[in-house]
Amino acid sequence: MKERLFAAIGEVGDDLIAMAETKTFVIPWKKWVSLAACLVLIGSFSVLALPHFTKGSDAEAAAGTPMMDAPAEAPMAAAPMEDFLYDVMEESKESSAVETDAEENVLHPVDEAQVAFAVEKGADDWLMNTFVQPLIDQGIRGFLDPTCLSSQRLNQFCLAMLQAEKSLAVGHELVMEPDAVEEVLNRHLQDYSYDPAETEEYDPETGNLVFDLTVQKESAGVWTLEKATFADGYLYLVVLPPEEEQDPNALCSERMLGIWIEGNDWYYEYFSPCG
Amino acid sequence: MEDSAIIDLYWARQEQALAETDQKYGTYCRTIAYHILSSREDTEECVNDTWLRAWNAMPPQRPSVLSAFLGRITRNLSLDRWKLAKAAKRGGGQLPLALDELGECIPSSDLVEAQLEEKELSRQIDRFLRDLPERDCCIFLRRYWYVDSVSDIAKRYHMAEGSVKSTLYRLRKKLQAHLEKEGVAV
Repeated sequence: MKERLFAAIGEVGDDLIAMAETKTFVIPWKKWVSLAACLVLIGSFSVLALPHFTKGSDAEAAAGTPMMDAPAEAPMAAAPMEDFLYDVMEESKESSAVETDAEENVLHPVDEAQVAFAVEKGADDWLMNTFVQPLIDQGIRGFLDPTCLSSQRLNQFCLAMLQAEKSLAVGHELVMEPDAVEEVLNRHLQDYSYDPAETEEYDPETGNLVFDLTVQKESAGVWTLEKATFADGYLYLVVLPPEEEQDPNALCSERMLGIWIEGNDWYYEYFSPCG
Repeated sequence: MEDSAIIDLYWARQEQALAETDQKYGTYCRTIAYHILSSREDTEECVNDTWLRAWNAMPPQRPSVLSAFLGRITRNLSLDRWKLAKAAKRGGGQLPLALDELGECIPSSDLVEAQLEEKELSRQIDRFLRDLPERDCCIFLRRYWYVDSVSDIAKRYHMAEGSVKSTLYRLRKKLQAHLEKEGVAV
C-alpha cells in the first residue's frame, strides 16, 4: 500500500515537480532586514522632517511617546536598535533646538554609519530587540501598534512575554501558522524538548494544531516559557520568571498570556493564579 | 541547451539528444535514483534506462517540462528496481519473477480497475497538493517525490529540522483526511 501511494505521488503534475525543484523561499531574516531598512528610512525621514513640522521645545512631546515611557532599568534598554531610535530622537531634539535658536535652517542627515549598523546588525538580535517595549496601560494593542496591527498584517501573531510588573513583550510578525509560531519559539527558546510526533495533534475538521513545548532547562536570569499551546486560533503561553525573582508562593509566579484575533481586532488577556 | 532544442533532437532521432540530456539532467536524475536505491551501480543503470525510455517515448511525446518528465521516468524505474531488490532479498530472486508471471493471469478488467483507482489516487493527491501553500507543497514533494532527507529539506528551505518534521507530519495527516473524505482507497 505504501508503495502504491509512493507511486501515485509520482504521477502528480509536472508543474508541481518543477516548482519543488526550482522554488526557493526568502530566508526569514532577509524579510526582517528589509523591514529594518524601511524603519531606518522612516527614522531618517523623521529626522529630516520633524524640525520643519514641530516648533519650540519638543522634548516633552518626544518623551511622551511609548518608547520613552520605558523605564530606564528595563532589561533591553541597551538594545542597539533602541539606542539607534533614542539617538534619532536626540538628534531630532537637537535639530529643533537649532532651528528655534538660530535661523540656520540646517538639516541633520542621519549618520551613515548608524544606518549601516542598524541594517547589518545580526538579524536575530535585532529581531529580538526591536520590538521590546513595555506594555503600556492601553494594553497590548497600543503597544503592538503599528508593527503588528496594520490592516495589511491581519492574522499575524505577536509573541509576547511578561516580565514581572514591567510586562515586557516581544513582538514578532507571524502568520497565524503553527509553523511560524514554532519557528519563533525555536529562535527564542534553546532549551526545550519538542517531539511533534508525540505532542502534536491535528484536527482536520477545524484545521487547528495543538502542540506543547516544555522547557527543560532554565537559563539563569531569563524568563522562560514553560509551555506554549496553539489551539483554536489562540496562542497560550505560560511563562516563569527566573528563580531569584519568583514569588515565594510559586503559584503566583506563573502567568498565562492568551492572544487571539477576532475579525480585525486583536485581544489579549493574561492570567495569574494569584489574581 | 534549451529543453525544446533537446526535444527537437529526440524528434529528429539524433543520438546527440542523449548526450545533451545527460549533460543537463544527468545529475538531477542520478540524485533521484540514488535517494531511492542508495547504490551507485544501480543508480547508473537506472539513469541509462531512463535515457532509453526517453528515446523510445519521444516521439510521439513532447513533454512540456522535460525535467519532470525525465525525473518521473527515473523515479518509476528506481522504484521498480528497489521492489525487485527487496523481493530478491526475501525470495531468493525467483519470487518476483514468479509474481510477474502470475500477474499475467490477472483478468484485464481487474487491471483496468486497478489502473483507474491508481489514476484517481494520483488525481486526488495532485488536487491536495495544489490546495496547499507553496512552501508546504514543496516540502511534501521534496520528501515524497524526490525522497530528500529531512536535513536536506531543512537546508534547502532554511528551516529547522524540527519544523520540517512537524510540517511533514501535519501534511501526512491532512492527506489522510483528504483521501478519506474523497473516499479514495490506498
